[in-house]
Amino acid sequence: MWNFIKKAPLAFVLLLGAIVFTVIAAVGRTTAYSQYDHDLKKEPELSLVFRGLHDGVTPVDALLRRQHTSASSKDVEAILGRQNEEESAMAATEQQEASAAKEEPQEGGTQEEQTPEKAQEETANAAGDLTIPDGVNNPVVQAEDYGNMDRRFLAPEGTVFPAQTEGIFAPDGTYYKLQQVDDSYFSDALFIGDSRTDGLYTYGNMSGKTTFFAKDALSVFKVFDLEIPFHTPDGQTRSAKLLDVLGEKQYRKIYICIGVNELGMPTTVEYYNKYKELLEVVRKLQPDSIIYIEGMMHVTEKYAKSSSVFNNTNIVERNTAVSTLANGRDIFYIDMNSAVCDENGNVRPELSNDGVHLTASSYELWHQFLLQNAIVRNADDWKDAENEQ
Amino acid sequence: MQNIVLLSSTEFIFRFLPAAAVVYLLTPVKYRNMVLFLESILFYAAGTLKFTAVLLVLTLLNYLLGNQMFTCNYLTVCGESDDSTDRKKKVSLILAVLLDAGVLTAFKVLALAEGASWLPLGISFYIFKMISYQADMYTARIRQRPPFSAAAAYFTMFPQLTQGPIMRYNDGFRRKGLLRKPRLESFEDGLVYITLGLCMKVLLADRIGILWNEIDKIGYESISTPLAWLGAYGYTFRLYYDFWGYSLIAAGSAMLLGFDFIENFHHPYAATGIGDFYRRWHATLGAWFRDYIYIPLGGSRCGTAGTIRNLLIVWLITGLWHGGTFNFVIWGLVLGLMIILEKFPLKKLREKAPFLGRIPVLVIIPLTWVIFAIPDLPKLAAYFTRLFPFFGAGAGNPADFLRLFPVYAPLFAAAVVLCVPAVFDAIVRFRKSVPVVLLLGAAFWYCVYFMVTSGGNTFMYFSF
Repeated sequence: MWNFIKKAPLAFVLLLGAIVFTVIAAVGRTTAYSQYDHDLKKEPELSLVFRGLHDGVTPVDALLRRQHTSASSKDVEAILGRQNEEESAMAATEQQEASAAKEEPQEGGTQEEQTPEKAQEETANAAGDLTIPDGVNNPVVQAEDYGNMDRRFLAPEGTVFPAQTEGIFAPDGTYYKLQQVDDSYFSDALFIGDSRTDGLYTYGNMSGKTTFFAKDALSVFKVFDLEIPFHTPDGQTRSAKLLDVLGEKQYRKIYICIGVNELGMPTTVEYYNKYKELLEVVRKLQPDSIIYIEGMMHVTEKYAKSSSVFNNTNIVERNTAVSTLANGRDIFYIDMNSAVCDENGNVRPELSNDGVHLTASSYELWHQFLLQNAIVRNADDWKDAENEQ
Repeated sequence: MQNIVLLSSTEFIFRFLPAAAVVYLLTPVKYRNMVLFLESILFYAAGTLKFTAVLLVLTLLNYLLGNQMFTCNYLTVCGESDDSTDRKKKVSLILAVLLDAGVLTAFKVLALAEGASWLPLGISFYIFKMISYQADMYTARIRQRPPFSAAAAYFTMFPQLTQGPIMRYNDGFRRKGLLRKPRLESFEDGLVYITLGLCMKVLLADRIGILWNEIDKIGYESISTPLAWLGAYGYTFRLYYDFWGYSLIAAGSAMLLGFDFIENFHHPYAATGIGDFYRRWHATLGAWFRDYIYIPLGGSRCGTAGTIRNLLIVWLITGLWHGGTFNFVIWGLVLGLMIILEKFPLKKLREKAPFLGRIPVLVIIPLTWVIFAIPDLPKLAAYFTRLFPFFGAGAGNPADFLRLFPVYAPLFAAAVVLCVPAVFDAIVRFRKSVPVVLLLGAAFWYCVYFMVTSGGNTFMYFSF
C-alpha cells in the first residue's frame, strides 16, 4: 500500500477525494441534496457535493443531514402570510372554472371545451365586466413553430390560466391605456431581470435615469435567493437581494422581465405559479406601484431552429401564460418583441450575434419601445404608504 | 453530439475513461488492440451515431489497401516480386490517398454548403492518420504485417479520435502493439497530464472564452479599441489552453493504457519566430505536413523558388484543412508568407538579433488568430478597424474595457505565467513532490466543480 502511494501519489489523492465526496453525497442525498436530480449515467454521485457548493450547501450541511431550504423561502412565506402550500393549490383549482383570457388562438388546439364567453359570464357576474379593452395590454407577440419543441417543457394539454381580476382600482372599473412618455418617467422605476435586462442597463441609454436589479442567470426560481448587482441612478452599484431592494424604497413602476433561464425547467405551469408568487410578493411590499410584466424577448430564427427548448414556441407559451396575470389596472403586460422581431416572430438576425441577446447598438430599440408603452396615472392615484396610516 | 466525446465532461472523466481503462487493463495482452478498437467505436457511436458507418468503412478499406501494399513489400523482400508488384503497390497507394483525401474534401465541401453538422466528428484527424499509415506502408516503415485489430485500433483509438494528436503507427503499434506495457508509473504520469489538461481547459480556456462570447454579443462595431485588443489576446489564450489542454488529456488517457506520451505543444509562445512557432504549435500536425507533403514535394532542396512554392502549397492546404471559408485561406497564406520572409529576406537580421523574432510571435500571431476566429469577412474587417482605429472609426469609449478587464485580469495573469516554459516544466519535474501532488489534487476537484456546475464549452477544433 505504501509502495502504491509512493509510486502513484496523485492517483491515491484523487481516489481518496472520490471516496470522501461520494460518501458525503450519499449521506446528504435525501436531505441537503434532495433538490437535485441527476443522471447517474452522465455524472458520478459525488457531483451533488459540487452542485451543493455552488448553491451554498456545504458538505457539513450534508453530513448533518440538514434539510434543504431556500434561503429566502421563509421570508417569502411570511410576507405572503401563507400557512402552507395547500391553501394556494386549492385557490388555483377553484379558478380552473374560468378559462384563460387569451388574445389569439393558440396552435396545437390546447383551448378548453368550455367557451370563453360562458366562463367570463360566470365570473363577470361576481365582479363586474372583465373584458380588458385594446390598448391596455400589449397582445402577446406570436412566433413561427418549427416543430422541434420538446413538449415535456410545455404545460400539459388542456391547461388553462385563469384571468386575474383583483386590482386596487377594481370597483370603479378604471382601465389605463399605454401611451408615450419621456425618460423622466423612469426616474422612480425599478427594472428587475436577467442578462437581457442587464444588457438594457449597459447599452440601453438608461443607466443614469433609473434603477436596475439584474444579472445573468436570474430566474423566477432564484429571484429571492440571489444577491446580485443593484444599480441606482446616481451611478452606484452594490450587491443586494430582492427582498431588501423592495423593502427599502417605494417605486412607482416596477418592470419585470424574467424567464429565459427557466425555459429548460419544466413546465410552463411551474413557471406561471412562481411568477405569480413573485407578483404577489412585489404587490405586498410595493402596494402602489404599477407592475409591468415584460414578455421575454424571442430568439432568432437560427437559434429557434437549433434548440428544442430555447425556442419561440416555448417562449410564447410562457409569455401567454403570465400575460393573463395582467389586469389592466395596476398590472400590465407589455411585449417588446414587436420592436425587434420580424413577421415570423423571430428576432431579426441583424440585431443579435448570439441569437439570444441583442447587440449593444440594438438595445436602444427596447428603450424606445418602453417609452412608447407606458401607463400614466393621476398624482392623487398614489397613496403614499407612509401617509396611509 | 453527446457529451461523452468531450474529454472535459463528467461523462468522459468519470464514466467512460475509468471503465474503458479497467476493461482494457484486465484484457489479456493479445486481445488489447481489439478491445481498444471496440471501445473506441462505442465511444464514437455514443457521441455521434450517424457518422459511425463512415469511420468503420474507411477503417476497413484503409486496412485492406494497406495490407495489399504490405504484401507487395513482403514479396519484394522475399525476392518474389515482379513489375506487377510495384504497379500494385503504386495503385494501392494512389487509391488509398484518393479515397482518404477525397472523402475528407467531400465532407468539408458538404459542410460548407449545408452546415457544420455535416462534417463527421474527428474526420480531419483520423483521415490524416490513415494517410500517414498508407505512406508509412508504402515506404516500408511498417515492418510487421498489422493485423486488422492493430490497424483499426490505431485509426480509431478513442483518446485521439476527436482531435488528435496525430500519432504515427510505429509510435504505439510496433510489433503489433505488444511493446506497450502499462505500468503504475506511466499510469500515474497519465493522471498528472490529464489533471493539467483539465485545469487548462476548464479553469483557463473555458472561462477566458466567455470574454470572446461577450465581445461577439456586444457586436464588433460597438467595442472600444482597448477591448478589441483584450479580446484578441483573450482568444489567443483561450485557443491555446483549449487545445493544449485537450492534447494533454488525450495524451494522458493514452498513457493510462500504456502508450508513450505524445507532445503536441512545446511552449509555442516562447518561440523565436513564426516558423519556430509552428514547429511547436500542434506539433503533430506540423510534422505530418512536413513528412507527407513538404518533403515529398522536395522540401527545401529545390532552390529558393522551389522552397517558396512548397511552403505556399503546404500553408494553403493547412488553411483549407482548418476550414473551408475564405478567412482560413487568408490565414494560411499570410502565415506562409511570413515564414517565407523569415526564411529568406529576414534571415540575416534574425541571426543578428534573435530576440526580434519574439515580437511577431507575441503580437502578430494573436492578430492572425483573429483572422482565424471570424469567418465573416465584413465582420473581420470591422474587428480590425477596432484594433487599428486610424481609419476614422475612432477608439471608442473604453468603459467596456474598464468594466470587463478586472473580471478577467486574474485569468490573464495565470495564462501569461503558464506560457513561461519553466513553470509547466517545473510542475512536471516535481510531480511526485508533496506540494505539487496536493496542488494537482485540489486543482482537479476545483475543475470538477466547474465541470458539474457550468454548461461546458465544446472544444474549438470540434467542427474540424
